Amino acid sequence: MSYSKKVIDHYNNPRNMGSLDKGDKEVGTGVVGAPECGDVMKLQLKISGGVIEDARFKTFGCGSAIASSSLATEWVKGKTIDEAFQIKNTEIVNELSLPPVKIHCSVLAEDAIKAAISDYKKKNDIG
Amino acid sequence: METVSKKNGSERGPFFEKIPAERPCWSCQSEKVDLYNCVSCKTIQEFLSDTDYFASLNQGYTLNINLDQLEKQYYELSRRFHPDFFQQRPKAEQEISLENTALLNKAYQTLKDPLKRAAYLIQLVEGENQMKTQAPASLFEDIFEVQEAVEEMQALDPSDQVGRRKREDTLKSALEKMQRYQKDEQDKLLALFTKWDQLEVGRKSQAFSAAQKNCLMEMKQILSHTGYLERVIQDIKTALKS
Repeated sequence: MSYSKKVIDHYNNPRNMGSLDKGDKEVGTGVVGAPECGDVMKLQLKISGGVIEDARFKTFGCGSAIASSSLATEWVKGKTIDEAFQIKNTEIVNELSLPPVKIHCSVLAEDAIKAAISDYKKKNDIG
Repeated sequence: METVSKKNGSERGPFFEKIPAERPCWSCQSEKVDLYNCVSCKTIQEFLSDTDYFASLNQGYTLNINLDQLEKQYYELSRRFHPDFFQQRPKAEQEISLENTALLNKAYQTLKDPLKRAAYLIQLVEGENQMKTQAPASLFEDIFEVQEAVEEMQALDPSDQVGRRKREDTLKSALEKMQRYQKDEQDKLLALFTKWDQLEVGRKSQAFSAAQKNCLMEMKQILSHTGYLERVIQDIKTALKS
């Protein structure tokens, strides 16, 4: 199995890698993991007026997991919470041409977005 | 982890029922053969190809094992099959002695350790070769923090004592939490040992019951989590030492 060009590109030049202040009320943090391979992913969103202004990720895992989360941060920026919530892992699979054995990496990225949004909502008492 | 049992080897698993019928003595053809020797001519017998670790050490399929008795049984059989005693014997006997000794060694190393014992039984019943490990979902955040701290520690300037201490504190508290988790899971595992043994002692049919298989599934879940965390714990210890 070899990685697609896009995966390699995200792996070599990860977008938005890093952290945001976890204590900030405008920052939602999602930490998710894949039980089978042990990959863990942290995705943070800075949300202002219902719009995602900034996003950061940090992933310990394989190239596909890193690429999936890197791509996720690119995609969510500028989207509303509701729009970001609609992002499906299959879109990530298509964009990165992930092989079947790596689909769980894209699921992880989708879960991370959702986890970060729910953390933000919980912090700000939004139902 | 210490295990104590009330019974030893008195319950026989499905394996034992077929031993006498399955093979005559290879040397004198007598039908009176037990697992280890021919009853008539006393020649040692090769283990059957599907002799499992429990059977080889004359143990029933219970998980609470009396370790003293297990050790005694192992030493006794090791003496009986020891290759040194067969140097002057025919080649066929030398080979049996070697092969049986090798199996007994593996069996003892596996059965004396409660975690390996349980993993082995699961593998035996399910027919799977390798136990998969899984990260416990409740600890994802801690696992992430550990990996982050380990990575940061490696990148630190050696003179940055404050920075190092900060990461060490993160690792130490994660280590404590994970060790507590391991302890709790091991307690749960031991409770399942007892449950399994009760079911095993009451087993009427040849096959293991559905309740027994469920019990094994629960053990498998625990072992896959503790197996995963054990690696993380080793990573933490290595990082703290470096």
